[in-house]
Amino acid sequence: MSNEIRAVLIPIEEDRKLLLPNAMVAEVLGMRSINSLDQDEDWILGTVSWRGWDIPLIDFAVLTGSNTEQNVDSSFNLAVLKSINHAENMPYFAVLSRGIPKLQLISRGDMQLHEEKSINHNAIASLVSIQDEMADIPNMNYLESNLIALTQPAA
Amino acid sequence: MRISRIYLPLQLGQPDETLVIDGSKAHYLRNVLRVKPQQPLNFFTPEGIEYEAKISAVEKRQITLFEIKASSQQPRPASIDTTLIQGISSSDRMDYTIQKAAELGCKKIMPVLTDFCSQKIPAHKFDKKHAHWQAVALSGCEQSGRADLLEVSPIMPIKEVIETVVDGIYLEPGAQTFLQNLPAQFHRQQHIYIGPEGGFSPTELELFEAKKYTGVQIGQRVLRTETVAPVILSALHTLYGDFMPPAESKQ
Repeated sequence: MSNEIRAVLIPIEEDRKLLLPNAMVAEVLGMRSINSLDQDEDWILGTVSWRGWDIPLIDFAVLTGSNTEQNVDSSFNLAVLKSINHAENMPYFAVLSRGIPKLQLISRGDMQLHEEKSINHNAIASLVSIQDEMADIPNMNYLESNLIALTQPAA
Repeated sequence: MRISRIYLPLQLGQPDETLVIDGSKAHYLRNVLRVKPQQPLNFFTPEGIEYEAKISAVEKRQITLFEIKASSQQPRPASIDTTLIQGISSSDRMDYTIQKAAELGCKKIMPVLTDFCSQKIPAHKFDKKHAHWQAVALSGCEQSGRADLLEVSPIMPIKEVIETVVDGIYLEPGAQTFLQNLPAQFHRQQHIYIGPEGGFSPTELELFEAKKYTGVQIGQRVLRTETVAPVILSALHTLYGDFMPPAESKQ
């Protein structure tokens, strides 16, 4: 029992998923209008309005080097994530999901860490496989610190 | 392939041969719409004119357009001139109201603070909220193919708006007038008051009465506040506006 966690697999590009504990996902939404944000990063798409908050929307695949050409349309979903390290500065942010995130109960034995594979970006904490599905575990501290630095003016 | 369509806040008299877009619009085109060279792009300007263009270059901070020409078939604004004076509702509901109003050709939305507003916005956030609603309106205009912008006015107390609006309509379940019997002066232009979640207060209803506004009912049921804007706009278009065949709507 204690070895199992409820996790969510978020498809971020074809054959690539993000693995997160379910407790971090506040809500999964359909695509909504993206408001522009005045910054230059390709992976920060803008902000979306959610429950009265304007939260940043990121494309994790682009952040970690993917050269996707598919435009962001209404077939996409958004996973709203709770910040865990810097909640006072940015309580929530959203990740682009290409498809519907999948809930999965994962036990220690289901997950295999791939230490032999090299990680090409600081935003990825580790690479794992769960029942033959590869997934990235994001480095939330890196992700949140960078998002805050890029989207919020210095005090 | 679907042609992307965006709003560009530019004054284009005679369109130049090329146009350079930078800042947040360039970021949006590059990273969200992910446009590529040679791809067509439609855009419209504050003057309400729609243009067709092609992308010539996509760079890190700017997008260049070429072959710019005004579209031969310009979108027409709605044939009725409707202003909605909307009691501010909770954030998602307000966004929904504005988005639907944009799609249905509403000309202006005036968000107002009323006695029963549940959404308490601190005064220092008025400008930010206004900018957000204008962005929602803009996105609705981009999506729906209209070239005239839905204007969202800054937040005001309802009492100040009542002082300036002469012929108003307010929606109230117990009112006596039906939309079909609206006096003729309202067939082309309307200023319509919609209450927030809690409806209008007795004081506000008295102010409407004092100004001799027309109370209108839209059925016997109490609608949620976000339902009202699409319902009233659809009904007005059916009776007096764009949902009528062209010959009839011109009369």
